[in-house]
Amino acid sequence: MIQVSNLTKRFRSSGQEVLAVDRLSFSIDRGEVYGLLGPNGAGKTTTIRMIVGLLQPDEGYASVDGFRSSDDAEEVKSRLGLVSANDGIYPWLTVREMLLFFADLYGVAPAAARSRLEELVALFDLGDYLNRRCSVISTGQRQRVIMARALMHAPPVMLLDEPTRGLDVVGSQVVFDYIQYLRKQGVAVLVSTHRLDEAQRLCNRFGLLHQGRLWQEGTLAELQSRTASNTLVEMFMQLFRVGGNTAPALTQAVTDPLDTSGQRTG
Amino acid sequence: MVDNPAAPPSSPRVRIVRGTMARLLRLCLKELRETLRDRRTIVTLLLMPPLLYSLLGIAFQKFIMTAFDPPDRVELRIGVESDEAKASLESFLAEGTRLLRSQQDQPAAEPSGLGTADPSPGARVDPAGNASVASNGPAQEQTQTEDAPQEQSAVPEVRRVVVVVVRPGYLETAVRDGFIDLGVNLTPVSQAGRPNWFRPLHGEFIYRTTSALSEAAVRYAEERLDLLNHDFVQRRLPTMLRLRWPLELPVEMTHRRVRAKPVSVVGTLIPLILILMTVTGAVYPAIDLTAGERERGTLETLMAAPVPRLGLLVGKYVAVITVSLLTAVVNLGAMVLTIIATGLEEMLFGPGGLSFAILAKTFSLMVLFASFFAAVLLALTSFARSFKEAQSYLIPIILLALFPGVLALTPELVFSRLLAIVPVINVVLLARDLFQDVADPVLATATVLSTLFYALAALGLAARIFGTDAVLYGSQATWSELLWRRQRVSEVPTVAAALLCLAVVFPVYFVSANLLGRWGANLGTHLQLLVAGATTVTVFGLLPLAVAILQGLKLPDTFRLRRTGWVCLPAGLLLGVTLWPLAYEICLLNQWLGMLSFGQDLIESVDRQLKSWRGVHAGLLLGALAVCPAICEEWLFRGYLLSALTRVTSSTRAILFSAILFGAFHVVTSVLALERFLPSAFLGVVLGWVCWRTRSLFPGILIHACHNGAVLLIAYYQPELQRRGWGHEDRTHLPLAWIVCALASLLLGSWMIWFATKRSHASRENK
Repeated sequence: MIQVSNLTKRFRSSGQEVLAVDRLSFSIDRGEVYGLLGPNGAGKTTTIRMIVGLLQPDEGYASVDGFRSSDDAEEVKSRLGLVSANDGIYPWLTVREMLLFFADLYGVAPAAARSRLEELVALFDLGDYLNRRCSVISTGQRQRVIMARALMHAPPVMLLDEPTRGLDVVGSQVVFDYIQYLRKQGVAVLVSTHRLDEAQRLCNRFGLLHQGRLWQEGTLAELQSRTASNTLVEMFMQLFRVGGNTAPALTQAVTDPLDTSGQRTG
Repeated sequence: MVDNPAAPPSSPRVRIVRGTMARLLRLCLKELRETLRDRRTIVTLLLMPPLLYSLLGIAFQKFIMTAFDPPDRVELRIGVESDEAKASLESFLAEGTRLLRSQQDQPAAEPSGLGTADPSPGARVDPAGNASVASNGPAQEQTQTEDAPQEQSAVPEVRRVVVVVVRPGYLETAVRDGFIDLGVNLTPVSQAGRPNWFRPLHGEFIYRTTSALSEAAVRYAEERLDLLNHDFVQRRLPTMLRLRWPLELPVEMTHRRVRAKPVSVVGTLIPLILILMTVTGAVYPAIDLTAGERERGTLETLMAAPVPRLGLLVGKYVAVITVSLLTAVVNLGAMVLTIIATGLEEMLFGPGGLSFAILAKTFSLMVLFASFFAAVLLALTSFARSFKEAQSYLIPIILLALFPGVLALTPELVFSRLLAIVPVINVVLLARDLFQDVADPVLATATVLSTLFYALAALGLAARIFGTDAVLYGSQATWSELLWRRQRVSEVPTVAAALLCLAVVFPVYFVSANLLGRWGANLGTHLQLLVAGATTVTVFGLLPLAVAILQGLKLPDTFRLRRTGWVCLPAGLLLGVTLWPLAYEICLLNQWLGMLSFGQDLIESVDRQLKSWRGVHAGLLLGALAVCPAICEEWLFRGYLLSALTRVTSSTRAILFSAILFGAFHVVTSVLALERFLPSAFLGVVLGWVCWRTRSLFPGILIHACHNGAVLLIAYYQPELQRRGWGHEDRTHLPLAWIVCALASLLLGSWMIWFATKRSHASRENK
């Protein structure tokens, strides 16, 4: 459903060129949840933006359902749902108005949109604040609204960019339920998250991204055999050491034992 | 989230919806909801104007009460039409003053009935009059008379009186416009039957009503001439009685009042206020709906939706116009209430007060201003990544927009055809002329068309910028990259790019054609034709080509450079040669519709041009004025523009819209001849249909060139045709047989094209 091939993106900053994504390739099938994992600045968000067609790749391509983002952006966008922790909402619209507005943007006929809204209200339990303005709802409620918004046009592909950022345990759980639900619906899901424990439980396959490059890719079992690590967290730490992204002094400081007065001994 | 939902949600059919009116309306409603629910908008929109105008009203009232009190010493300007009259009047006034002084020295001897006209108590100096005296009027020469004596206490002291010579025939105009306070038309009365030493004059006093200065001038001159007459009668009466001459006076006086030209606060200040009102109303929503989207974090989600940017921008545009108009209407309402409440109505708007006509004109201009500024502000704020950045872009623009508003305060600035296409200035000058009831319909049409066109171009620019990654994510990008960045690999241009291209082509061609018309006479006809051809090729041919190359478009698809079936060529030839009678008859419709802008001087100038062309070889004429424009105009309108339009809307709408632009183009570029709109739009429809049907530019070029050639050759060989009895009087209908033949040819040619493209068209539709 999603095909990413040799995707490359460079940014220019203060006369210098930064390679944000470097020849990235992977694919995601229907009903598959793909975890794009990596530290901050690894290129996860840039990759998602290129898949949506919001950024133009310098090389390579991303395609959804056979349509390339760079050539047929509108076809691609109509097949995508996007959930991001940074997604804003219109403060002066009610939840109902905003959801119907986005259904309209995605070309859902008004009658179908109203019916879809009822289904999603039941699914996400939005009834209590459906007619409240978005500016007055809580962070957790806001995240539910954003997830419902991405589903208004029933997209076959869902992209989730750090969907649990800023959420508490309950809020995060709703997101995980959401991903499970999407998998059951046969939606191809790409999720970028730093909640590695949950990602390990939810995703079918993983892509470990570091400095724009796909460091490892495969199922958990494949990654375990290749990296000789049991968990994604261990794999990540290994990745950090390889990439030299750790702060050695800080690491040393926290690993040195404390003396009786509470001072570090090392 | 509810665990284990009982049934999966249904899947509404996902589709990309092109811009329908209903959807556009829903987009606008959303934007309006978002804007109008914001308390900041409500405060700006509803609360500020009544407060502001009440305060302004009080301040203005105070100002008027103090500023319009009569000054203590005034200067009077009296106009005459010749040096001779000036000398006579000066001597009369000097003599009258001498007599007045001597009379004042001997109060008992004051003649009854002379110089006793008391000034109306509480007379006020017309502020307009004061302003006009200071400006350069039609006066050619001026001298100062001796210092005038002090007037009675109820009127201001006359500091000095200046007699000026006005161009003959302009005396009344000079009085009406306030350049002089009094016009004295001195004409000699017939000398027949009178002795040589007695040369009586008739003095017509022309003065403004409702002008204290004008009345003071009349009183001043009348008083002195009365004394002069009285003195004459006293001295000559015995002689007259002895010789039995009828009793006559050296200067017989009559009076003519003229209505003062309404100086209009309305005509001068309202354009400025309109700019302020519409800009004030448009600024906040323009920023909020563009830069605000990014600041709220909604821009990314919005751009991730499968909606063309232009569609989004049109929704925002309508919302900004609406809010801008609402603000302007509330402002206007507050202003009107303040004016009525403070009793300034008559002072500001003249004796008629504030009429419905003034309000209607004001509202129409508001719509025009709002259409323009909303688009410009959206284009600018689309560049911004935050409220703060947007504000820093807008402040210089608002200050710049005030400059043309100030231009309306200069009455000498004539609203010309060139100024009619200069943005903002054109609307300001139109507003001024409209309020002074001197608006030219042709210039008004050009102003409206060009303003709407600039608005479209600004929207096109906004659509190019809005939501780009440079704005969305703050990517480092140069301005050229931002403007010319390839959105996607495409075969044909976007509507935004096409509108932008047209926005450049229209004024460039208009200015170059006008300059060629003005300076071309020195070049000689041959060189003039060559330069005209080169200009056409550069503006219509090379400019769109350069844009298409920069955008990386596929040139054969953009400009429809495809071969077509051979049947299309004779069909094109048939249409091209026989379309002109229909175009001519449509042109005559203008008479019926009252859309005539060709004055006799323009017709004569065209006749002169035609005569000069007769010295040129017909081949050169055809090449420069028929073939070259045909190729280049088709290249732009049916190539670049129609390709862009068919990409986003139905073929019928695309053809109609391109035809309307084609018609408007011919109006603007042919010295604003409104008559050209309907026939050009008609040709645009035919050419558009042929191009869409054949998917090729070549049949259209053939039709266009043949049509131009036919019209040109008829004009070129007009004398020969008339000699053979084929002549035709201007502006009368063609013989019915010709029209029937032309209609039959149109049907036959269209059928041939339809038939020739039937198969390819059907397969394309199936695809």
